[in-house]
Amino acid sequence: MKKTVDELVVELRAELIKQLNLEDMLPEGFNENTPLFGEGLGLDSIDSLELVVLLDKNYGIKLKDPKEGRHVFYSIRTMAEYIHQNSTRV
Amino acid sequence: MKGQPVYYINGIGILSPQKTFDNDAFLTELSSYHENVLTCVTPEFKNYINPIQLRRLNRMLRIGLTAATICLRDAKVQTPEGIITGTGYGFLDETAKFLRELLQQQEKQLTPTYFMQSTYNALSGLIALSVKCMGYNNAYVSRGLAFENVLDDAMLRLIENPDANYLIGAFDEAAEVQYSASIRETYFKAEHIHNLDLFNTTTKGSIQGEGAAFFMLSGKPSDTTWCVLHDMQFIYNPADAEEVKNGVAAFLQKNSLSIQDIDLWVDGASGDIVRDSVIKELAQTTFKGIFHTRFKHLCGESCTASSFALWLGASIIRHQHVPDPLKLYPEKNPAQLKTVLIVNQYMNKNFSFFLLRQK
Repeated sequence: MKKTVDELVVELRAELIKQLNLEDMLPEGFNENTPLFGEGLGLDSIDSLELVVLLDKNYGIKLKDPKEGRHVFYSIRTMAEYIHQNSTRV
Repeated sequence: MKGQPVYYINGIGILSPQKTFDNDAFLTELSSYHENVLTCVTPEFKNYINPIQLRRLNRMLRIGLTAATICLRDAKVQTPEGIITGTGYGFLDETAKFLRELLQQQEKQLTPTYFMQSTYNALSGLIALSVKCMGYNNAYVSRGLAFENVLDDAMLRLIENPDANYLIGAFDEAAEVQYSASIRETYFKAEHIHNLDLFNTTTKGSIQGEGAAFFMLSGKPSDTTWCVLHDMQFIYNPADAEEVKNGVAAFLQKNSLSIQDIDLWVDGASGDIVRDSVIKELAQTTFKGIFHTRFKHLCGESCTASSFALWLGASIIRHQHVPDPLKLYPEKNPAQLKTVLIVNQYMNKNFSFFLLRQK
């Protein structure tokens, strides 16, 4: 059965913490709608590369358009929604 | 010695298998290990590296950046004119992770962090970014003479610009991949020993060590000066002990010194019954009767262990004291500890001499 967006949110949150070493780093009030870059979590360009690899490796999605990435990687929820719509593995 | 350029060590930061990160305490307690791999005693990294930066750094980068930060704080220098690092093997653990992933993923979908952190110049670049140093930045990867090459480079640069501050350092990690390969080559002992008994063993091989040491080198003294580095020289692959003996004699003569002028010599014996042969011969001939200490039972053997020796020599001059467990012969401290000569060896092939004097 295909995973729901909410299930993907939980899965992605754990995966991001592990992949980007965010343990003990999450700011107070962090949730699935907090922006990952900029004023939110403050991730940088190397992190965005890690996220591109994560999408490809775990969900079989190749992001080719950098403009698309800006929207997809806005928050954990936008990532989950994108994966839900585009991945055949979930 | 007149007219010869001199170099001041104006700050030090070192993380090693001993508790050396606190510059105010000089080996007040020794760490002992019952295995043949000695790893760094580390402070709380958060006191030296901001958490955002910290989360992506591997263990060795954390150790290196912390040592560099301690050195910068000790020297009261915010941004040095240049940064030079040396390593024998670089970040071997990270290289292994990168290569493993390369195989597992069939060269696709590789995470960038392993690659970035496996490059030899990752540490010097990281420090430069941290302190916004746009100046000279270089990394030497020359096995057992890596740290010596770093010093050589900095010393040449300081001849041109004595006012400059160069942050120089060395690092090597006790990597698993290196340990297993070195056991096969008998570079490390097959039997488990206690590190403080290293020099009582009679077998081939040493024990594996690691560490990161940074020094602020300048042509000008400051109120934070530890000591003067008068000269440094190295010999690669000497034909026999005689060549090393002649090298020591020529080095001392170049610096207008005789053996009797040396208050303390620090030898780089590694506890290897075979590969310590030249150092043993020096002890029985050239340096007979000279106050003597050694250090590799504290930090283990690594390509850049000479950086630990430089810290030890500088600390002895600064504190005017040799901690009891380090005293070899004679046991009584000399009246003064103004001139220290370090004679290091790596694999009985790479020999280096460091001459330190009180400011």
